[in-house]
Amino acid sequence: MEASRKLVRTFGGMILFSLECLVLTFQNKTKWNQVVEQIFQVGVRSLGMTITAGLFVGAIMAIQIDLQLKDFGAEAFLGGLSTSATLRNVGPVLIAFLLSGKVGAYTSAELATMGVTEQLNAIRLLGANPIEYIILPRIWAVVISSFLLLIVGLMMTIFGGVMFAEIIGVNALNYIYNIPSIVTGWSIALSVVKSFLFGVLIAVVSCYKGYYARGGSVGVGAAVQSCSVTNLMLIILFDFLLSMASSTLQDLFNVGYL
Amino acid sequence: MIVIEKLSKSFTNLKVLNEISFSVPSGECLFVLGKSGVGKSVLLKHIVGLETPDSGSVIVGNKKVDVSDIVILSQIRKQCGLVFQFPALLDSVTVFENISFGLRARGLLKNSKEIEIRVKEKLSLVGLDESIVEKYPSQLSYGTQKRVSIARTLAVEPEYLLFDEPTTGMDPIATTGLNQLIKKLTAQLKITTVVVSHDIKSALAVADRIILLENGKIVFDGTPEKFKSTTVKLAQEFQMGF
Repeated sequence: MEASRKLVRTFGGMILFSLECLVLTFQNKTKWNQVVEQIFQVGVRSLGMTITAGLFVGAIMAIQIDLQLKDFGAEAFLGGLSTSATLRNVGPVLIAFLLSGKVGAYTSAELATMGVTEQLNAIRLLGANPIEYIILPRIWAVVISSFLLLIVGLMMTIFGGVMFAEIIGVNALNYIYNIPSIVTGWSIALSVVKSFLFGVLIAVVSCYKGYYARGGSVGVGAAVQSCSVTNLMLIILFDFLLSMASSTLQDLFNVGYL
Repeated sequence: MIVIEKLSKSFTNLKVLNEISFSVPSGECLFVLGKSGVGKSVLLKHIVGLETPDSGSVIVGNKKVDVSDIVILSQIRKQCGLVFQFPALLDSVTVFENISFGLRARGLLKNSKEIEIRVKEKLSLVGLDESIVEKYPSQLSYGTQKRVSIARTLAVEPEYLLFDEPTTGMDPIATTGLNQLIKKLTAQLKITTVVVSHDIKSALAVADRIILLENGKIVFDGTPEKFKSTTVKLAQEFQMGF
């Protein structure tokens, strides 16, 4: 019972927190120069990791799907099937997991440390709103960075698949040529929507958990741990919900299943 | 004037403050002493509305601290300056930006030249050289960070100055310097000062009045001279430790 209450309190708090940030954004309170600074801190520094991860995710998917296709003698479909599966599901989820570990953990740890060392209280007492001054730039920086990194990562998954195809003897041009025959605009749209939503989730969860951390260094540790677990759970949950919604909409509009 | 009336505060099952009442007249320097964990910092946080009392009230000037009334709370916070136990400087900005933060946030000074003059003036007041303005907090020693923190609080020129364990982590020379600074501020600028501490030496050197807390209650309230001769056991223990 206590656990359910805590869960409701946490998600209720996150919704109110997001609404407050949204209202302040509409009131034009976002300091965009700080957003750019934060994009460099959390985004640019994660680019190398995202590119590497994307390449390997693409290659792993190509390996797995190639193994299945060989049984049916359908290797010609490798490019399309591998790219579709990666774009629609595995790519956004895996890269979002990595970003929640790097960007999310960094942000929540930074904010939690500011909280337990009274920096946030100092801002309050000096007449500023910490959400406006500290949180808004970070939220937008994480949303923008995560979204762009996910898009870059997904493009890298395609390159990873192509590179692996070359290694196993599938012509790269054939691999790429096969992609548009299976990957539809719907798949790309779903991938973009998932990337944006995962970016928002990582931003809100990491800022919320960091901002409300209490209790010294133990509190910072607990905030980062809770941020990681919540991010992972929510990414999986929303991936499931979006996949279900996409499947239902595809049924409704009869736009194919890949 | 700060008035605390029957203030009580509990955390889970621990009653930290138990119907505490006292007042601090304008221009007085009050030291609140007590062992660690007795609720001294909690008391200070109630004055600036960072904690909500279970019962009782806090009045600053002629306004009652009410965390649900953002307008009143903001007015009270503009009158108060709290120096935290840890420097609480913003890590990502320079010393200059830290000290000028409150001036900009409250819109006290808009002219950048005036801001620069105010920052240098307050740095000088806390005994720091203006050459550190472009440094980041991580490039400064702990003692210097604390002085910058005091300069940041003084920059907004508060009517009430609150210190939370100001001498913690400072060497004896810096401690003496800080004590002299508190004395100077109270005497010259007529600032009402509340210092929570367990540093009896500083209290005896600086305070106009001392309050001693034990188990959520005030067990001593008087001048430093009376403190030296009191029969209160905890006060004697504090002096024996000193």
